[in-house]
This record gives sequence, C-alpha cells and structure tokens, in this order.
Amino acid sequence: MFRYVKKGALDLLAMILPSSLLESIRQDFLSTQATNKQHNSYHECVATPVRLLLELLLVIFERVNHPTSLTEETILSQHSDDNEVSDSRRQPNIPNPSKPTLDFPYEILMLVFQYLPASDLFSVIAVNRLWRQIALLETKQIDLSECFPMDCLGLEDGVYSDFDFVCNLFSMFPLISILVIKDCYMRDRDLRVVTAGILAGKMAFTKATGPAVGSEAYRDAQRAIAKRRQQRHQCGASRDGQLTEDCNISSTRLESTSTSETSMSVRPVTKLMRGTIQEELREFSRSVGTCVLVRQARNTLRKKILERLEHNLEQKEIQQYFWMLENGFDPETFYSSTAASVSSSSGDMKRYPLVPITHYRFQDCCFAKDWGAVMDVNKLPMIGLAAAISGQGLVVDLEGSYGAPSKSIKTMLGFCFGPQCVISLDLNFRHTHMELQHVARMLSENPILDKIDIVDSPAYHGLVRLPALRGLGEILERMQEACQDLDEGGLETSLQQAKLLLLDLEKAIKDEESDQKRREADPGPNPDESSDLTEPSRFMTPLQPPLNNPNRPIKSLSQQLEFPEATSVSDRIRTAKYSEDIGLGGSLPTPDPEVEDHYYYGYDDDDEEEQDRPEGDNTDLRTDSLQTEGASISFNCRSGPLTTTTPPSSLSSSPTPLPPSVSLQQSLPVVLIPEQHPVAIALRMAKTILQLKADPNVYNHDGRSVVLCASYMGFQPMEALLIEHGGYLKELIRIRETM
Amino acid sequence: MKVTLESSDGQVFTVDKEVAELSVIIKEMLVIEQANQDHPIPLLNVGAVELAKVIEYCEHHRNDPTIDDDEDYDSRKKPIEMDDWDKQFTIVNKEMMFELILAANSMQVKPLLHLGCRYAADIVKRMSPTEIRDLFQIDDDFTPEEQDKIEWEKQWTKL
Repeated sequence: MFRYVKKGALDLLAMILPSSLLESIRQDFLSTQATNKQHNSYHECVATPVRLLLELLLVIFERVNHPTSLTEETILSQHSDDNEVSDSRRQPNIPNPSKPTLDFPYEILMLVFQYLPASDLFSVIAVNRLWRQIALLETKQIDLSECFPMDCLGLEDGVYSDFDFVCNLFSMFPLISILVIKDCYMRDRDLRVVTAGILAGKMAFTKATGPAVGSEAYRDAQRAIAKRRQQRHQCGASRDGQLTEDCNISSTRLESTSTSETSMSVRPVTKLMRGTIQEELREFSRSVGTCVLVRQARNTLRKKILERLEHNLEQKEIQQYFWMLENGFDPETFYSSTAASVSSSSGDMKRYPLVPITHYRFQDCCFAKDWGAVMDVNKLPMIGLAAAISGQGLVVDLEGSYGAPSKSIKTMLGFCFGPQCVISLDLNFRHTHMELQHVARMLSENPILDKIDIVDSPAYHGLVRLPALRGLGEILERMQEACQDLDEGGLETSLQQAKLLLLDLEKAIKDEESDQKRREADPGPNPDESSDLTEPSRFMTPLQPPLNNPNRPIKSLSQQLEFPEATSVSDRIRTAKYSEDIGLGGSLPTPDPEVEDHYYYGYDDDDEEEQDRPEGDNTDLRTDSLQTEGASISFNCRSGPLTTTTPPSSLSSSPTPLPPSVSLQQSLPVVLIPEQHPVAIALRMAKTILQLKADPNVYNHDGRSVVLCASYMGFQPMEALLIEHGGYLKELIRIRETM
Repeated sequence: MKVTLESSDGQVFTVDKEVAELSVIIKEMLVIEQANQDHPIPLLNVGAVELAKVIEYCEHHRNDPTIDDDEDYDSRKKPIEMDDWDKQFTIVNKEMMFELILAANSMQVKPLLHLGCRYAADIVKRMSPTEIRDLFQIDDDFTPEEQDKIEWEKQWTKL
C-alpha cells in the first residue's frame, strides 16, 4: 500500500517535474528507504498520505535547492575533455573499509573553500577534478596573507614578480574580486597591499562587471551624460568660464562650460584628457564609481592617504570617488561613507555599482629593494579617474620603475597594450628607471599607440623626444657609477652633461609649444572643430590623429629628429607622427611642490615632528652649478637635429636657497672627519644631490627630473656607506624621504 | 509551541518551534503542515545523534538574529561570530563534525553549516593534496596533462 501510494505520488509529480529530476528524486527516495529499512515498520506505522507527501516534498526541496549530483556532472562535463576521466569521476569512490567516506556535496565544499587561505586553495585544486573545479569556479575572494611572494619580486629573469603572481592568480580564479593581505606579512611594503587590492578589483571589474569601452553599459553612461548636459543647458545651469572646483560632496550640479569644451577641440591629447577628467568624468564616474581597497594598511599609511585626499585642493574634485575600506569592500561601509553621498546625491537615490580601478606601479611590483616606497597618492585619484573614463583602462604608472628588469617592463607593457589603457609616464617627481630608452622604444613601436591615452605627464614630452634622450641613459649610468665609487668629479661631470642634454630638450619643448600656439591661433580649417563637441563620445574616443591635420608638418618634424642611418623614411615619419599623436605641445600643470614636500615626509609617526621642524638656516646649501635659468642656448628646432652650443659654464647662475625640508644642517649632525674619508665624500655627494633635487629651477621641470632621479639612484650606495660607517641612519632616512 | 522532529532512525525530538525554525527546511515544512502539526516532521537524512547536536546548537542560538541571505554568510566579508560556546561545541571528532555538516546542510541550519565548514577548513589547512585525499577518501582522477598543469602551478605559487 505504502509503495503503491509512493509510486502514485511520483507519477503525479512526473507531470510537473522534469524527468531527470524526477528520476533523481525517485532514486534518492527509494535508496533512502532501502538504507533505512530497519525503520520501515516505524514509518509505515505512522505513514499517512499527508506524511508521505511531506517526505516527498522534503526530498524534492532538497533536490531542487541542492542539486549536488547534477551540478557536479554539469561542471565535469563542461570542463572535461576526457570523457573517460569524467565518467570515472562520476563513479563513486571506492571507500576504504578502515575509514568512512566523507562525500561532501558541491555546496559544502564550496563553503569550506571559502575559509581557506590561498596557500591551501592551491592544495585543494590539486586534490581531484571536482575539488579543483569547485575551487576555481567558485572562489571569489582569496586570502594571500600567508603566501604572497614578497621576496621574489622580479629580482632576476625567471623569478616571478607579484605581478606575475597576481596575473596567474586571476587566470586561475577568474571570479576573484578581493585579495586579502594582512600587513603582518607585508613588512615594510604597504604599497603592495594597495596595489594587490586594486589590481584584484580591477581584474574582477574587467572580467566581470565593468562597462567595457563600447559596451552597452558604457554607451548608456555616455547617453546619460549627454542627457544631463542637455538638461543643464536647457535650464541655464551652465555658465561661462572655467570649471568651478566644487568640492562640495553633496553637490550634484557639475559646471561644465561650452568654452572649455570648444577649446579642447584643438588641444593635444594630454590636455584633452585632463579636460575630460575635469569636466566629464565627474559625471561619468557617478555612474561607475571608483574604489580603492586599502586593506589592513598601517595606520600611518591610511592616515597619509586620507590626509592627502582630504587636504589636497587639487584633488578635492575627485576625492569624492575614492574612499578607503579597511576591511574589504562592504556595501554598508560604502553607503555610509563619503562615496555614498556621491552616488545618492543625484536625487534619485540610485545606487551605482562600484568599478574598482587599477593603478599599478612598477615600484610596487619590481622594486624589491625599494627605498621606503612612498606611495604616490597624489597621482592615484587622477589616474584612477583616467582609468574610469577609458572604461576599462589599466593604469600603468611607470614612476618609480627604476630598477625594474626589462622583462617586467615588457610584460607590463605587453599586458596593457591589449585593451585601451591609460599610461602614466610621469617622471616628474623623483623616479625614473634604467629602461627609459627601452620603454620609449617600445612605445614608439607599438602599433596601436593611437589608442593609448596619455595622462598628465609633462615629462612624457621629453620621453618621446627620442633623439634628445639619446645618450641620457649612458649619462645616468655614469652618474650612478660615480655615486657608487664616491667619485665627486665624475658625478659633477655627469650632471653637467645631463643638464646640457636636457636643456636641449627643454628648448625643444618650448619651441614646439610656441609652434603649437601658432597653429592654434591659425584660424584655418580644422576638421575637429566641425564635430559636435557636446556629444559625449567625443570625449570617450581617441582624437582624430593629428597626422590628418594639414597644419602639422609630420615630414618636417621627422626631419628634425635624429635617427640612426639605417632608419627608413617611413619609420622616421612614423616616429614623428607618434610624437604628434601624443601631443607634443601639451604641458599640464604640475602638482603643488609644497604639497609634494609635505607628502614626501613619509609614513613614520614622527611626521609631525618632521613637519614642525623650524626652518633653519640653510643658506649654506647652494645650487651654484645647477641653475639653468638664463642659459643662452642656440637652438633651431627646424634646422636639424637637437644640438646645443651652450658651454657648460653658462649654465651657472645666481645661487638659490634650498627649501627647509632638505636642509642638511637640520638633518645631519656636523661631524669632524677627514675630508677624503668616504663618509665625508658621501656627505658632500649627498649634499650635491640634495641641492640638485631642491633646485626650484630643476625640480618639476620636464625631463630634468630624470637627472634628479639618477641622482636618487646613486644615493643608495652612499646611504649604505653612511649608515655603516657614519651612523646616520635616521638622518639619512629623512634625507631620503625629502627626496 | 512545540514541534516534533523525527530522525532518520526513528527517534523523536520535541523542541520549541522557534528553535526548530532555525532550520530553513523545517520552517518551510511547518508552513505547509499547519493542519498536521501533531505528526512529527521526518528528517530522513539526519540521524538521531546528529539531530540531537543540531538541536543543541539551535537551542543555544535561538535568539540570534535570523540571516536568510547567503550573501550575508560570506565568510570574509562578515566573519561568523564564534563564541566560546561554539568553540566548545566544535570539540568533537572529525567524523562527527562532518556528519553535523551534512545534517546542517540537509536541514539548512546555516550558522551551523558555516561553523562546520570553517571547522572542516581548519582541518584541511596545511594538508597536502595527498593527505586531503586520504582524509576524504577521494580518488586522484587527474589526467597526466592535468598533472603537468598542476605541477606548473606549484612552481609559480612557490608555496
């Protein structure tokens, strides 16, 4: 009777359930009854039709909500190329009679894996195919705290950097959205916490949620921008003049101006990009959001980041889109943060999805023996926004890439050249790298270079002037060798040579800018001006190549540049075109040096002490030989290769006092030692470098920061010497931080 | 209000309804079976020993806020609170805990399920793939090609 009723009930269910599911239910139900046959009498005693149906419903409920066997088979069939293996996997394992078989279903294994750090996940994926599939397909968050390879950071070929590591990680676990790294494993490498977290978010965004350029979501965002702009125009909300630096987070009205839009039509790419960030991205970002994950970062680092974002006037307009999440991304945290007011300030209370961005710095991934690893927070928001506007741009900031192996640079560049990306080649602060020429060559050889947006990198203009940079690499090497050998004369000579070279570069830049201004003033036909500037796609797509502008004499430019003899005409023109494409004449304002100085005090808790230092007498530090203003240079950009007739002696001018932040009197004790003692030599060379760094006429000028960077590079051996023999650890750290 | 639960081996347990309702399955069934609450609710996949432990857990956590959304159980976004009682509760042998996990999964007692999974993860931690296979009685079904790939992964993970 019982079985009859049971069978009848199953037959009824067959009318409403798929046959496969029904068969599964049937087997489960019957097998359960069979295994519990010792209790059948009990069940039969209390069985009623209602009870029977309840049992069936229970089985159905579990089957529908936990389709374990179906899921396993589906996954295996999807990911297996070997039917035999797949079939064998479906066979029950032969249990060891001595131990019970623990056959966890799919969903339980999935939950268990959630609690495993990465090191154990790597074991799990080697257990068997089912475990592997579950781990690879279901892992969304991974804890790298116990295995992040801090000590194998691109030191040599064949050694994986953390970039490789993270890339491999995301290749394996495509759904990862958050990396967890605890600072107890970070030692002094806070930056990697940030980097890895951001990279994690970016990768997840790129693969999972982000509106790729050209995608429907991306176009929707653009249409929304256009619509809002049109509404503003209709309401008379727009006004002439420059953009207001509206730092009010609750403000929803963005003042963009038609005049600025018009002016952008003739700007080089760099300026357009910057203008786009200011005028368009604020709205665009509201539809996509931006996120920086700072997880378990040290208090000092967090403090610095927040201070930077809060007090830097230049960044106020965009700090709205950045916030720090100390414990990973949590919607509640987000919506209670500043960013929430951004996303809800439009009035419709719509919650926009977060789109994490990547700001990947070579300093973080390749500079194993970094010097304090000062984070470039100043650039982070801006570049992040640039990434956002590009839709899916991977931001590559080569600043601080000094020392990076060429292989790593190649890897990075090869990686970022796939999608449309944003590259920051800002050498303006203090860093450069030994691969400068190599990078320049790679950039110039990139066949899709016109798809790359260059963001606010005045030094980039110097970088792309390949002829002007020819020989600079050798000078940099000589500078470093001089520092290593404590060769004061060699350092001075190299500095002078580099200055000569860079003076040429500066002159070339100025000449190019004046030429650019002349072209802008020329009211001749410009195809760019005929387009509708209010169309958002105007700001989201690459500019019309300047090559198409008849006012740009590419051939002439190519003739000005210096090439090896073997260079073909087409390559020469192509290089010239490339230089034009990235906007030769563009030069964007650099950050406030005072802010930079404040920033570069580092992360130590004695920052306040550092900042409160009284401004001591530092007039003993002069930059006699380092001035470049007033140099008389004979240079004709159109007459031939970049050359100079300026004698080294003409580079000198009146001395300039150094800022107090780099006063050696304040930071180094006066010690009497023999003049030729290595420590004394090192101190003098340190002074030279600091003078160079502090020279307001050198600092923040295009290209010349390269010299500073080389000096900084050379500081390392002196630092080691002074620490070892001079006992100047603390003071030298201060010096270093001021650099 | 009392609810009667029946284990797979026929043992009957009477518990408060609010305790039983920590199980999503039972909660659903109570809705269905409103007119037949005199009958015990059968739990065909849960033995008496495991059911007793589950009930013990639910009794202790009867006043905990209900969390229905799986997302809220994301272990790393919101780590599950594990008080001293929970720690004491998990001091059982592995087999028992694994059975409890299965029972919690069957009854959909989510906090217990996650507690058990966390326990299982702690056991698996620092185990080699071979040790895991041995513990769970799992066959190594990788093909030679897959084994090669796993070897490659081991290299870059540098564990």
